[in-house]
Amino acid sequence: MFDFTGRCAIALPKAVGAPTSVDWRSIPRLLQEIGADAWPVTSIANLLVGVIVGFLGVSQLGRFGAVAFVPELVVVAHFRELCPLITAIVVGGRSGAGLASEIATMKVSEEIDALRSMGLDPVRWLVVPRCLALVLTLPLLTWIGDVFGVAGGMTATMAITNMTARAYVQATFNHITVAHLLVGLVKTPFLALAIGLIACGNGLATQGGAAAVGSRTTSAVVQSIFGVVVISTIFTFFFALLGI
Amino acid sequence: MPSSRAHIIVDDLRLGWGTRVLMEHVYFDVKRGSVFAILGGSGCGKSTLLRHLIGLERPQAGRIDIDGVGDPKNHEGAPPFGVLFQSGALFSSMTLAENLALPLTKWTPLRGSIVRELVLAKLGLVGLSPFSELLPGEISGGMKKRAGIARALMLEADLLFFDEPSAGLDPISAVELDQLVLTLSRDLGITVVIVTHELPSIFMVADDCIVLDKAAKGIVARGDPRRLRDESKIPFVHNFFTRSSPGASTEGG
Repeated sequence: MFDFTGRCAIALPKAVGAPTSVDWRSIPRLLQEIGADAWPVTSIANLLVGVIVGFLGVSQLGRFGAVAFVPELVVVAHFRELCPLITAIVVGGRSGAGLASEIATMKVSEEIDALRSMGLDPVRWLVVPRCLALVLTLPLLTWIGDVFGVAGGMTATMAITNMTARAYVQATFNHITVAHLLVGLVKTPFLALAIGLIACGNGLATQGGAAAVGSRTTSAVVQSIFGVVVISTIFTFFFALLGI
Repeated sequence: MPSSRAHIIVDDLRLGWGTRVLMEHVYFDVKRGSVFAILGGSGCGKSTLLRHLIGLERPQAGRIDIDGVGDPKNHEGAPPFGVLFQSGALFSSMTLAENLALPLTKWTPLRGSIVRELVLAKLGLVGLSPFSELLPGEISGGMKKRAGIARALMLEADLLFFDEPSAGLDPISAVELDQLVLTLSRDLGITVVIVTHELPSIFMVADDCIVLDKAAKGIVARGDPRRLRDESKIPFVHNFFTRSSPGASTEGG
């Protein structure tokens, strides 16, 4: 994986220097598949996580008569940590599997060999556009997920307390800060890159037939999710150290 | 202008993975404009040798020289050869026309209608021009192979590598493919290197061949396949060309 990451690091400046070595035409399709097709599932996942945080907040903070702090809890927990994590996990499972199996199938059907025999570098041709599409879409999906997370928290809070929607929204806006938003969003390109590199790396490392495609796809999903959790933890630790 | 220098020179090649040697002391050369066949039983390393010839794998030792440039990986710019892979290896997300246009748009400044015309001309050469907008998943195996040949021809390379071109084809399609290979070689002067074990194809198209043997870890015979069939005293070679079982090898002549 380190070897592959190094190859990608070398490929990126080369791709910029030789634009015809990258399959730019696949970008709209990839944006559609990774972003547009994924937003319903990432949004619903974030809505439900918002509901969970809302219920949890009401049940725990309610014991101290502090239900008014639930919107702040949802904003802080969801914007900073949960939304980027949940969105990346869903994208890692969904698009990570899709990208890994697509490239793995290309590998076993000799399409990767055909690319190389034509003088095209598979890393530049295939990996760069996929990583780029992920880096572009994951922040957007996370941002949309933030909105749905707030909606989920509001739904849960309104369902079991007397707080009105207006009061909830007002309290939410009072606690949304640039720092909360950016702390969550700034990590998403890194999470996207990790998903892309792990998925594409597993796809390109495939050897054998159909069984190897399945095996590599499974590995890609497991490693993507694990990688996402590790990177999120590192960012959390880093921001805690900086006091952000 | 044809040159008398061999198109490919393979010098003391050793192939394998790690400590495992698949074949060694492999020497041969391929004449310009000829059809050269790499033959041998299943698992003897024919396709592996082809992968080394086109630069997809690095040999453990020895040297491959294509067109006097040396190692296929050393070629700057467009590859000096086209390759037909066993499955056709067309890009499944692209139409036939897009598959064929790819090497042109990558390696030449040509764009737009000129590319389109060249693509249709090459598809026409293999009888597929009406299918240019179909995806590889929408055409038959034989059509995929013909499209693969057309793609291999796009950069007008004078050297083509075909991996099992007739495998899995019906007899009529296989003969048509053989005739296409002959046309490419005889009429256009293209050097063709074929990996195959289809005997009718070998006798129809190949001018020269090498026979690989797994047990010998290398080449056991070299020459005109028709001559090898009729004159070789090597049991494996005789059995291979006459489709005899090992027990019948000594009587076969």
